Amino acid sequence: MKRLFAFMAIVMFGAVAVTPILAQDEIVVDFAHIFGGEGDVRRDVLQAIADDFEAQNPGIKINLVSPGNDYTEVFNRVLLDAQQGNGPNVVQVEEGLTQLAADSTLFIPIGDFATPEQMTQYEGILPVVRNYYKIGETLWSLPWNSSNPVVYYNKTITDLLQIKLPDSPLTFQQVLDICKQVKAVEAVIKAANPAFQACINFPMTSWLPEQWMSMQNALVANNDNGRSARATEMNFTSPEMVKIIQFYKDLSDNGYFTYTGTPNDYNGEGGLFGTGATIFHINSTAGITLFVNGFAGAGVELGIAPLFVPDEDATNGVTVGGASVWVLAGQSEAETKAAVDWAFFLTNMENDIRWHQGSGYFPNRQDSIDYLTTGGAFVDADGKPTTADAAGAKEAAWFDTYPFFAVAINQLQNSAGTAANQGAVIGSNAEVRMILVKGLQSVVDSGISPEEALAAAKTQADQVLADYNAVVEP
Amino acid sequence: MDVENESLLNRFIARLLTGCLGLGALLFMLWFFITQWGGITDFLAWFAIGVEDFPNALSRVATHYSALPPNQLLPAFLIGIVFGSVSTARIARPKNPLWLLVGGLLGALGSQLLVLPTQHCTFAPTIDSTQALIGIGITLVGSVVFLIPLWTYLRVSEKQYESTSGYFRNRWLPYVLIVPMVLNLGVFLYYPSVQTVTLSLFNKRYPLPQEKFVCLDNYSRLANDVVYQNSFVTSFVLTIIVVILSIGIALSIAVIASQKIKFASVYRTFLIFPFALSPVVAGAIFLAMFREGQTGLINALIYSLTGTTLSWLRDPHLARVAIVMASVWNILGFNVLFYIAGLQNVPQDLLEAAQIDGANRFQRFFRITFPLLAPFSFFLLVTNVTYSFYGIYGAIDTLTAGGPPLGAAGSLGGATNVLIYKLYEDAFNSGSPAGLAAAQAVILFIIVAGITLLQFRTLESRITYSD
Repeated sequence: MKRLFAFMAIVMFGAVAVTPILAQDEIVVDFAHIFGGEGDVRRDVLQAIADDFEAQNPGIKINLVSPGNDYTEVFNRVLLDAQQGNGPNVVQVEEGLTQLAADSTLFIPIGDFATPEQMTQYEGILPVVRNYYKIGETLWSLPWNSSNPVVYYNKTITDLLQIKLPDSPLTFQQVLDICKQVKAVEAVIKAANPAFQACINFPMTSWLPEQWMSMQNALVANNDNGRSARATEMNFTSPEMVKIIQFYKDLSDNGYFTYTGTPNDYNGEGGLFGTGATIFHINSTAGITLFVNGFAGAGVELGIAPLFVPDEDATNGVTVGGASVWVLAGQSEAETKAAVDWAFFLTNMENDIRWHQGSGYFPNRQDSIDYLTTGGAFVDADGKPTTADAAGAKEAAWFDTYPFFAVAINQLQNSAGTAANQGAVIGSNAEVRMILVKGLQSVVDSGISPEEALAAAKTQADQVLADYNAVVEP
Repeated sequence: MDVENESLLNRFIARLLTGCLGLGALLFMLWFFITQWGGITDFLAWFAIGVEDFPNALSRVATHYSALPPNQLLPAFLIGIVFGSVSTARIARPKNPLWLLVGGLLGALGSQLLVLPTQHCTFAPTIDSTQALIGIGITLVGSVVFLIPLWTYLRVSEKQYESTSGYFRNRWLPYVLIVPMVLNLGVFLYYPSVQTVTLSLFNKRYPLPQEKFVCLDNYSRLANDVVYQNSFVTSFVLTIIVVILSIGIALSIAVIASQKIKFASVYRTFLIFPFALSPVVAGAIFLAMFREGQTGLINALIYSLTGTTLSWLRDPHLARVAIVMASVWNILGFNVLFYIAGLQNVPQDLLEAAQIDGANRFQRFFRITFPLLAPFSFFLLVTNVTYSFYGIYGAIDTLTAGGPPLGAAGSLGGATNVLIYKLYEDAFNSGSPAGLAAAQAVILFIIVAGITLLQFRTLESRITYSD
């Protein structure tokens, strides 16, 4: 028995000693992202891009890792790992976590490490997209998967009701008018579809009010949305915000609006709309393919329209949603270079187009959009989308073949690029956003006036800002 | 084949099997160590840092004490000395002034146990009254921790310690045997607990590395926070309702399920089934039932009967009802399981005797069955209270996320925002106040420990456990 233990010990330590020798002299870039779910096609697109990068850069290996399937989970894991020196090299960070990431001291500003060629590539990104990830003059990260809210509607029903939507975005007043029309024939709709509940539903989220603030060229937070200096106050009680919340109240008081009862329930709200509970719906462009396929399968016509505007004068445009890629600090020079190169490779024109076509997130670059306007898709003799190598396939414009993508991209291209379009950077964004959501809920569900709800939300949010700033400021 | 050969063969097979088993275990350990080596080295490195840093930590403590002004240092010692000597004097028999001295000394030492991590900040002249009071409280708690061994010694020596249980021949063997458990508890329970208490003294934003020492500010904030106070009340109310319902319903079901009927074991299996689901899954099932409009099962039913639907998740009262139903349903299987086991232990002869004496069904249940189930009821009471404080997080997270908000913009909290949910919300969101959450964890632990202790002291003494 003793001999056996000795043997075991020798084998064990032998194996441990040999392990590092086996590791080769190659640079490994760990890229942490959220698309690692079982059967997620976006992971396959990402893997294909990584394979191409490896082929072009011998000696560098891209290791795709998914410590979680949502942004918060991945972000928290990566930051904790990084504090113990075990972090990945590059990570996908949601837009709302920008300030927190910048404050963490665990990332490098990618702009300071980019080559002049890479900075030229960066300039090709749409200004409204690229400006989000700049705080002051520091470029922290590269925009990657970008999305926007758009309006989805049940075109079969609106056609039946003879509701004609204009090409320009609907104003709040127009929405209320249309919903009034729908309400008048509610009994008829219910008889045909017992699942019908209300004219419109959308997620109870602070993302939409933020968009509507941007459209009115209004700042969500002071100090230029927290860009020129740390935000110390939320502009929740501004007339622009009151106007937005009044819209929620008007919708709900008149019985035009419903929601699942759960905040930030993007999937649940989409489900409500999908089952015919509502006729109008607002959701992220990230789900566009899902809606298009689902409605096509059900034989119902889906309409996609730009996001509502508060009024005709609110022409400032939207802010970008989604995520960007950040490079972690504390790596060797070679690793940092490889990580920065990977981030730029992932977001270059070719991969921007590939990612858009494979994932449904929209292209970030002007040259990608130009290319997709003239080419990028293949159709058969009847003009139906087909694969490039199918017999008789000919090249066609991508946006002509898939026109619903154009809605989101137009809306983004038409954004003015002011500080309001940049969106607010708040360290404790999750908390502040949740406070606004609770404000919305108390208006919709408890009949509290918009002014009172917003004043209470502002008091709470400003306290959160003060608490947060006290920790990170020296 | 004769008997001798057969036994030889058996012995050979037995040794072969033992050998295979040993080899298998060996290979498993090898595999385990090789694959886990990275984690083990991290752990060892972390341990080494701790050992290396120990002298530095000592010198930091020494610097802290020497730099502290006497008016901040002396009060804690004084409290410890007075409390230690007075309390020991009441216990010690015969009254020996020596015990007074020892008590005072231990009290003084103990007073520093919890006050040192707070850097004596609660005795600073500028501190607010809430924090100063809590500071005195933790000084006393620290003293008690050091005094308990002394009190135990004094009481035991009084009673003349008589052991009736087994003993070890080797004096050191028992200590060796508990080493793995102590290590395990130390790494996974005591160390994280100490870390949590330490964290509660800091203003920190998860998961940022920055932190600032804020004394007991997190605690006094919670004490004055109306959202936290409401969360406190909600927790207690929900706990009482969930515990009463889950135990009451489980007992009725168990009584019915224990009847001698065909396929009883099949029914019992189904009854226990809900416990096999995690609270999150239970929450998801209930979400499908309580959804708005007619997509929810319950609303579809109500609509077909009345032509209207209820806003289960948007109305504060209905949301609480939904949470109670989901929580009760989830723990029911567990309770039923124990009660069925308990009912099988109720002696039939007693019940028969009662029946012969003319006791009716109800009298038999309340006079015989129920009292005999007391040990099970007590066990379930303790576990269900713990479950209601900690375990209903999953159901709340999937169903209501702590809402619907009470007051304008949730300024009064949420209808289902119980302590454990508020704690999670404050602890694990990116950018959330981790120090405040740690303070909540400490308070929640004290509450649940306190309730459990109370249950043991008030109820357990009335229960007869059968031998």
